[in-house]
Amino acid sequence: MSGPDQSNSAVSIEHLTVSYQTKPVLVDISLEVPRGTVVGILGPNGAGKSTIIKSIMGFVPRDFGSVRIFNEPVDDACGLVAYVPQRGQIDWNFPVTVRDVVMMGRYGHRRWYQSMRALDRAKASEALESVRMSEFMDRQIGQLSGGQQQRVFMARALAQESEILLLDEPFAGVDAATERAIAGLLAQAKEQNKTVIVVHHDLETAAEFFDAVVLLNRRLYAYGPPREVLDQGLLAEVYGGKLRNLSWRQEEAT
Amino acid sequence: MSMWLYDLLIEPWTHAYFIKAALGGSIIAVACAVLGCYIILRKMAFIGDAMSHALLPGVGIGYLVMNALFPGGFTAGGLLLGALIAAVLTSLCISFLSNAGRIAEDTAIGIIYTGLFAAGVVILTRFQQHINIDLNHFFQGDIYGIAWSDLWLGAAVASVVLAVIIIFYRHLTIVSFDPTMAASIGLPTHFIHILLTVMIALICVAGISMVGVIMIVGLLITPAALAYLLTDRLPHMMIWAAVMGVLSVVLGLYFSEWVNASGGGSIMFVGFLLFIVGLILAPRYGLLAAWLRRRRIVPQADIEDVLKLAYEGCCQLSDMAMGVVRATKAARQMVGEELLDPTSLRQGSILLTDKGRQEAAHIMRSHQLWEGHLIQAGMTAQAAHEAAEALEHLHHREVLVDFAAELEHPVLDVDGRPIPPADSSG
Ligand SMILES: Nc1ncnc2c1ncn2[C@@H]1O[C@H](COP(=O)(O)OP(=O)(O)O)[C@@H](O)[C@H]1O
Ligand SMILES: [Mg+2]
Repeated sequence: MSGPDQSNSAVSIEHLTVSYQTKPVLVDISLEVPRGTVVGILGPNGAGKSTIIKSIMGFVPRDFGSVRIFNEPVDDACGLVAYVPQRGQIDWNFPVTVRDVVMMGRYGHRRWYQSMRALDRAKASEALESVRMSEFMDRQIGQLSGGQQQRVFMARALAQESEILLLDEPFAGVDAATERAIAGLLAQAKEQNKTVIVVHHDLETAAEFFDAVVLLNRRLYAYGPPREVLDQGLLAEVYGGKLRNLSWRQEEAT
Repeated sequence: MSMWLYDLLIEPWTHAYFIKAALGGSIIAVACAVLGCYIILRKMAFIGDAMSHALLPGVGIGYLVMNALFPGGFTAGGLLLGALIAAVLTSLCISFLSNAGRIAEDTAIGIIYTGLFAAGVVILTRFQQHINIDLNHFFQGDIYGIAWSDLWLGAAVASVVLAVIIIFYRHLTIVSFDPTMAASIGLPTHFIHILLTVMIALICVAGISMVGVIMIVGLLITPAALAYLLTDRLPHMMIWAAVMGVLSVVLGLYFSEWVNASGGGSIMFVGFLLFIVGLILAPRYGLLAAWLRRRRIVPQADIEDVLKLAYEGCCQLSDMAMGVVRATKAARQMVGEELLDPTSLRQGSILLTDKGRQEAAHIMRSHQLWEGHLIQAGMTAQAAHEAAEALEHLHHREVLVDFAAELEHPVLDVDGRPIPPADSSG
């Protein structure tokens, strides 16, 4: 059979259409993410970036189209995807420690009547080590800096040992050290042949972090290598009037 | 031991009704407190309130049905079943109504629980002669009148609730903390929500006969809220909540004996007082701790003033223009930040460390550049000097770079003193 190489596809979205009540949020999106790639999703606020992430987890009712994870319909594929939430979704006063949060990554590996094993604790420590947060094990999560919190949730996603990682704006409002740590983790995940999908808002850094970039604003505007996608004319079309910031940067550069 | 103390503390325990009240109350309080931790973490307090009131029609109908089936006999099962159905129905109605259209969740809760409660009142008053439930009892409970059957029911329900929480601890915690993640690993988040709701309903049914509908909500929420102020670990929070719940019950019962007031009311009143004490005195999240923390913060401006004065050669704490008290406070903080030498501070004198000198030079430069900028902008030298005293604290490097460029990179300030160069450390 011709067409894309089915065996190598991690996430395959076809004609995905999603709306909230009457408002269309995603219209006829089709894209194929091969295993082992790091993909950035770019688009203005309200473009439907978070919605596409949620549909890859199978949480969003679809009006039309399909989402397949390793060629399984998404509704049957459970536990293949690890998710790093957007900062605003977390209650930072919740009485859990860094260790508790990372252990949550292991819950999916045990049935409800089984207790956590030494293996789970080892995997959790290993994940914490890889984001260099081991010394904060016993801190309550609210008592960390924003970047450290982000790294803890990265560690939880790693402890899940899922083939696919979904990150919703991990780079939003983090310090330089965390940005490096996250970029390092993306590279590390890629080495392990994992598939990573990242919602991103900074056009300038997109080229250095991602193998491929999706340009989204309700419709899919482009999907391909960053150099091709981050083209001025296309960006202007997608971002509409919101591109002032970008053109200003260009003037400065010239 | 004096007779007086004996009467106050020991004598109540010689009565069976007091022992039963303390036992029954404590059992319910422990289960309520532990369950309450999830209620407040999930911000479901309002739902607990709604749930407890909405039980009334369920209890009433359950009573009627069981009475019709087994005349005069076994009714506890009917009450429980009716209450459970009412609880699940309430929670489904609330989530349906708040997802259906414009109605927000808090509005939906308000509508559903008053509506169901009203239905319960109608049923109870219409079938008064068939139903042996007293509305006043529903509100206040009767902790001194609890029967052994109430006690057994309470113990059974409390065991079930605690067992469920222990078995499903992981699931309840992750669903409360991060429902999206919970769903993504395939946990039935909706079912777990219903499970919590059902447990609230069960504990309400078991507890209402003792402390009444309003106080049961208090037992669910207040000890857990107090525990939330005391600790950062969920297991510790549960233990603290249980301890505070039992403490409320026992102290409340003593109190009601001493002043001869209603048992249920006294329990919740004491619980409330405990909460107030905790709110003030809690070691980290209490009001007193917050106040002390605020007091300890040294204004950044004081630190910078000490830096600048020291840089200009003032080396005694007692010579600082801001006064010795403020200067000492700032200096202590600065030792912690490695800006001052600790040994000379102990003799009351100020000696900058290398880091301190660098910072001080930066503040100096800021003052001098601000002064220059203000004079350039048309101020008199005197006015500019005074304004710069305040404005020097806005010393973001980019501001200073702009000023330096504007003044064409001066080396001397308006008084002819050298301006320290911009440091390269960045
Ligand atoms: N649960 C929801 N109900 C109604 N509208 C929603 C919901 N979630 C998102 N939306 C709307 O869908 C659009 C896309 O949202 P989202 O996917 O969060 O965008 P992005 O993450 O790109 O900023 C937005 O206009 C938002 O207002
Ligand atoms: Mg979003």
